[in-house]
Amino acid sequence: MRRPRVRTTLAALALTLVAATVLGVSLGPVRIPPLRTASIVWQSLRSREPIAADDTETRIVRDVRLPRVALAGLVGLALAAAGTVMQGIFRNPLAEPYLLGLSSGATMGAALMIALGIDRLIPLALPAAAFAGSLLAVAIVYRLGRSALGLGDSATLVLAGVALSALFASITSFCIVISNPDQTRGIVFWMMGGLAGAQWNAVWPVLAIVAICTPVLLAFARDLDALALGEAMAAHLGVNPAWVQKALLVTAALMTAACVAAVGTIGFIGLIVPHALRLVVGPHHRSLLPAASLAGASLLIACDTAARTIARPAEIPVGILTALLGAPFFLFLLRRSSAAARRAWGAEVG
Amino acid sequence: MIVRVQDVELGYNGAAVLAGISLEVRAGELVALVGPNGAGKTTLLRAISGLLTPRGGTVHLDDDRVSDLDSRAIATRLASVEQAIRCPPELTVRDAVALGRLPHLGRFQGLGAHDRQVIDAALERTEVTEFAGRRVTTLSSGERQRVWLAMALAQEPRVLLLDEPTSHLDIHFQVTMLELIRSLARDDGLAVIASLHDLNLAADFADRVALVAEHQLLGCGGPGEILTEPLLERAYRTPVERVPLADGRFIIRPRTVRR
Repeated sequence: MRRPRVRTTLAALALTLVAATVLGVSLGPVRIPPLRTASIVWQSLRSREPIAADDTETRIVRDVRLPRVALAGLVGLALAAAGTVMQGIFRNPLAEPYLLGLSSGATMGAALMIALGIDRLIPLALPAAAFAGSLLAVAIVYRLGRSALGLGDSATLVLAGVALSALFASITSFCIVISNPDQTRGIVFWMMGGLAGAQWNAVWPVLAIVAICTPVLLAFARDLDALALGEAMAAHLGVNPAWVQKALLVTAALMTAACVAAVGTIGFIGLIVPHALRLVVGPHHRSLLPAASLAGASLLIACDTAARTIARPAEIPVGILTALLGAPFFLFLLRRSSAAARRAWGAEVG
Repeated sequence: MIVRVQDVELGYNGAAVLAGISLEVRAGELVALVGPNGAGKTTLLRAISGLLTPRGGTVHLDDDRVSDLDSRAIATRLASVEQAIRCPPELTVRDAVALGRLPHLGRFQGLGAHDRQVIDAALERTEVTEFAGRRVTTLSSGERQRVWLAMALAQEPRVLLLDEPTSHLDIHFQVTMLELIRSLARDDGLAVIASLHDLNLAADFADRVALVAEHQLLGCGGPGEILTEPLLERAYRTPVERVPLADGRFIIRPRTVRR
């Protein structure tokens, strides 16, 4: 059912991602021409030879900018994919990992581990707690969301997310208060996150999670399309609604937790990207998921490149830029969806 | 294919909705399910389609017990159209009908030539081919209802369950819808169960009528046999009169008092 338009869009988005990557690696305090950048990246992929001592450009590209761009791309991809899936499950245009409290849940989980000193005792305690925190958030929102679905009111779900975020944030703050200075630094560093100083060792775990989770999301793409018709109709089409919803939300929580663990909280990517792409490729998740993933990667790479170049030598945390883009968009959607909800009330009965 | 409902009991939480329901529907037959609001027509349809598990009794499709089949296996034999279907605003008619192929496709499998043929045939059969490229939400409710029926046909079912397929339709669309449904039974050999509110339409189109009220099946048989004044007054708790027509058919109307 892939129409030519979908194929063209996917191809264009893939090219955009390549361009964003090359530009992201080229731009910075030391400007490296795009072609030179591309050739360095190509060389690095082909051989693992140690870099010559005087080859600063290769060093900058390979050890400084490329890991940062790769991390931005992976995080953007994961957040956009998670947002797409959450909007599909909750049938809610405002659903998104950050707004529904998944990100602050993950932060809280990590802060608890640091404050209690557990992260020093058990190796993977930190990311595991982050995952547990975002799972907790998604479980609560899911329960509330199911009862709110009948109301046809998308704001209810977001209000639940806001309240949850506030609760998690206060627990995180409490952790900071009871911590010793060393732990406090750890928590704050974790919360600030950001892409600055990203190393390859931060890239691999996110890459692994994305590589595992993206096929899972795609496997359920058609079930999501059926769920859009309501749970009963989806069941008539052979879909098990509760099972699909849970499997996908756990996957989305895992992706969100991996992002928060790597770079801290970055909001709104999962909100803007699926909306924009739905207008272009339509509501089918088999097209929408790959399109939104590619676009999410490009968008976060672009935002990060802007964040570290526009106010040079200072660097703006990328979350500020995404919020600057996303928050007005959110308000626009809120206005539109409440009007649509009022209309849908009439339409569903009549 | 035969749908066989045997001594089924259904309920939500504590309260029993229906008990002792037995019903058989054969291929080529259109059975109308009638009864007052809240009698449990939707509940019974959902039990037949496997969405609800009966507390007692069994539902069989031929020799297979529905509760033993997984939902995909059911969906390739039996298609259901619910009364209220949500529709995403961007969904086109063709894409909606294509969703009917879902139970036949593997997780990563795209639509093949056979799937496209089935989709085209379903669009054709329900006369919505001309709308194929349009968004479902831009159609009238009569046209939209035919789209959902096309989606059900794309499942290539042998059994069709329809919950209030004519509600909110004007008399033109009511009649064309029921003519289509009857033809799906008679000409395509589907076993069709449709819940209907309009007793006169049920009388005109159904081969048999099943009357559900008082938590049970009050009767199932030919329209003339079931749609009688005593049975209907008992079921609906309202005085009704059956007015005979010259051609042997009849009209059911409430015995209202004109002031």
